[in-house]
Amino acid sequence: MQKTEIINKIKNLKTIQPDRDFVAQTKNRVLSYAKIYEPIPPLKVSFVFSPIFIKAGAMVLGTALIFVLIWQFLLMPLFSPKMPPGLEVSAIQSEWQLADISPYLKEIFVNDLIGKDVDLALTQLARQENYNFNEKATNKEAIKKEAENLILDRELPILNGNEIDQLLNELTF
Amino acid sequence: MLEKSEKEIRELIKKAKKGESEAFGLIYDQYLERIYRFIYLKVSSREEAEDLSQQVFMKAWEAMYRFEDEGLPFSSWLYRIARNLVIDFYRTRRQNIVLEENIIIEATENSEERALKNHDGEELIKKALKELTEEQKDVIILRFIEGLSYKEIAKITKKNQPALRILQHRALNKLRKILKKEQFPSI
Repeated sequence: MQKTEIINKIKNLKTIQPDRDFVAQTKNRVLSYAKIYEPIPPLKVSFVFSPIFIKAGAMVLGTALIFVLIWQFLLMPLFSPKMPPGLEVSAIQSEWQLADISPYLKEIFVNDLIGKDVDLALTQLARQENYNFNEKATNKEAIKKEAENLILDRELPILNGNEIDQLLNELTF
Repeated sequence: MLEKSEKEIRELIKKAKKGESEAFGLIYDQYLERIYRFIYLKVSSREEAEDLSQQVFMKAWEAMYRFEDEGLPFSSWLYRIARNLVIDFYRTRRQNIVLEENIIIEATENSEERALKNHDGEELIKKALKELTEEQKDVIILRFIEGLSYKEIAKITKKNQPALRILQHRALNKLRKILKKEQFPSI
């Protein structure tokens, strides 16, 4: 079969036509749809870059910028809550920077030394006392004198449990 | 129906763009037959072709504002919409169509009517067209049935003209082989 013969056969398919009823019904449907559906025109680039659009945009942006600046530097300080001077962060920071802490450090160092001296002195004193006590304890003469001083015939009161507790409480508190 | 001139068509398009549905109705009258034929030869089903043709015009109405006059006929724009709808149709319903086609062919192949139709060649060429790829079908239908230029087909299919010529050449060769086989099945 020749190429031209095939092309002629293909061209014969141009006789294909839609059904008449379909044509009429579909036209009605499409037109009904067209009446209901209103296409929204797209925003054109030419409109976006038109002088009116640019002026309007600049005005909006300018107004917004002015409002932000007014708020930041004029209105915000008025509406922001007042802090006591002692709690203001900036005041604390400046005070910290100005403060000289070296005298305090010296004082701490001196106190530490004094504390050590006091500890040493107390330890020596305790040892001395302990020594004197031992010496006294071993001295028989001294023990005799102490014994003589004791009152052995003294009658001790007989206390019950509650009275003992009461006395103990008085002693301890 | 009388064919409208390009100038008349452009006037109708302007009116339709402004939202005049009556003008769009006249555009519909002008192009429905071509769009239907194009779709029918691609999907091989009257019902589907009718449904898709209707969708083409509804989509065209929705997108009238996007249609830009590039010096090409309005039909090219409609063919492009139709082509995209057919692609979508095949994506979603390809398997069903294959089944339906097999059933139809089996049912008709045994009848004597089939033999008569084959004799006059129309059914034979339609059957052969089904064997082509979608791209080959586009070129053959638009070039030889609708009589469009390569420039217009290139715009519709988004392919360059040399590529279209190659597609056409291969499609015709394939059709020749299929028709030869159909006419002389024993060879």
